[in-house]
Amino acid sequence: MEEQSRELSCFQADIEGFSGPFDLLCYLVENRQLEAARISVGQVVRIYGAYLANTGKVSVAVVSEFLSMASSLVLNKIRSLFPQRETGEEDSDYSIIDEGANVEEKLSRYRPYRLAAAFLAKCRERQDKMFARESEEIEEPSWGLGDLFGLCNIWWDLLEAHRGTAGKGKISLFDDGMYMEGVPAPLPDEAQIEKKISEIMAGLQGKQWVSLSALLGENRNAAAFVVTLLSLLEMSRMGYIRLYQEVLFQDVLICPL
Amino acid sequence: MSSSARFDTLSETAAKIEAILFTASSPVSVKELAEALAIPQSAAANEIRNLFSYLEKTGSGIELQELAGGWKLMTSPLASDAVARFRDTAQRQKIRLSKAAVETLAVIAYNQPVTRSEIEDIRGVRCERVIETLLSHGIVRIAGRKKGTGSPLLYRTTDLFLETFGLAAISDLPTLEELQELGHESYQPTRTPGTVMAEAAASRERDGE
Repeated sequence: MEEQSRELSCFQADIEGFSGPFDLLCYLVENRQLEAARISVGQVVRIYGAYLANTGKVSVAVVSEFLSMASSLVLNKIRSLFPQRETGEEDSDYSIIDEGANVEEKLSRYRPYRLAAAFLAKCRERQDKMFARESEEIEEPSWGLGDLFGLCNIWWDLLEAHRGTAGKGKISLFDDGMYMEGVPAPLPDEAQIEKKISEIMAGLQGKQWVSLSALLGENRNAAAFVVTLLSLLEMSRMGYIRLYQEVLFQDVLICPL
Repeated sequence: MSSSARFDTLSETAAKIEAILFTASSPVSVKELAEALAIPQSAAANEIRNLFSYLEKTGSGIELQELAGGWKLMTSPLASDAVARFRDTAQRQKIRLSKAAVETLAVIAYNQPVTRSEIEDIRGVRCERVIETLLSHGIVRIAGRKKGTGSPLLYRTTDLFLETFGLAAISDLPTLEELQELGHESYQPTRTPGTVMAEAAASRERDGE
């Protein structure tokens, strides 16, 4: 048993091309294959820290690599949590580096790449005039913070409107009459079912059985049916009744126990 | 048979290739076409050449273009205005790249895999934001880390880069020396049937025909 736990604590995942799972995780985040915002950096660091502590042989190089990767993960997470920059903003990012270098030498080295960029721009110009069948892949929906803020505003406005009109006889979005046929009334589910169970229990008193159609009576809309069915299933689960249906699609008989 | 008569009709196989490419939204490789048609790759490459010439000679509004290692049916540049007006979303689908982004792409394309500091060393300006933009568009990708101090990230171009710039492969790019000698104006980037023929011959050799 001890040997097994020792084996588990020494478990090591070797991934080709990466120095370890943490390196792979950083690669996936940096390469946009994993969404940084969904990663709990604290948890990852705790697990990896525990793993390093368990190995018992942590060199300075390993610790520095760990810190470098952890900070890169934190940076990526911070970036993913902030709104994305607008495209084209990078044009203003012309902070010149290495001012001391020989400008002429720099320019002569860079000149061929300007030609290459002009060549690419020409290729692009031609390609922009050509169209192809659109990909049918459906992109995952995404919601920006702006949308969420807008949605919150609409929600608060509606809530305020409801509070303002409640009990004053005005029509609001929350009036019962506004609900569509077949949609259950906006009572909590539990309350509706509890109420229905009491009604059914009262209806079953002194009887050997009652049919579902009799129970539903004239009130045969979808909302009433769903609530009745859920109540019957709950009553059956609690051992109050037994449900019978002798032939498929025929009436259901409810017998009290 | 005169050359004009030759392109009046397509062979059955070329017509099938046209049909396959018509349904595809991403470039289809010669290998995939050969497998779908159950023919050798060399024969598929030959039929592509026939289809290429047929579309060219008949003045079709459709062109066959080699992109990112595969073939794709594209509308002709001559029809671009009409198509853009018909499908107003078409223009919006195109990735918008700034001049700085294209210059950075050129440095990455010619030096890949390359680190950010190497790009900045060539360009002489900071490139972090530009690289971020290129990464977010999927035109460049991270291709691991360079061994050495700080293990900096290495960047490479993607297939989307080839598709965006109408290139079949990175080797389609002229060398920096060629560009300096000829100038970018005189360099022809697109594939011709001649290139396809040369590839067909190479495929035939590989298939042992």
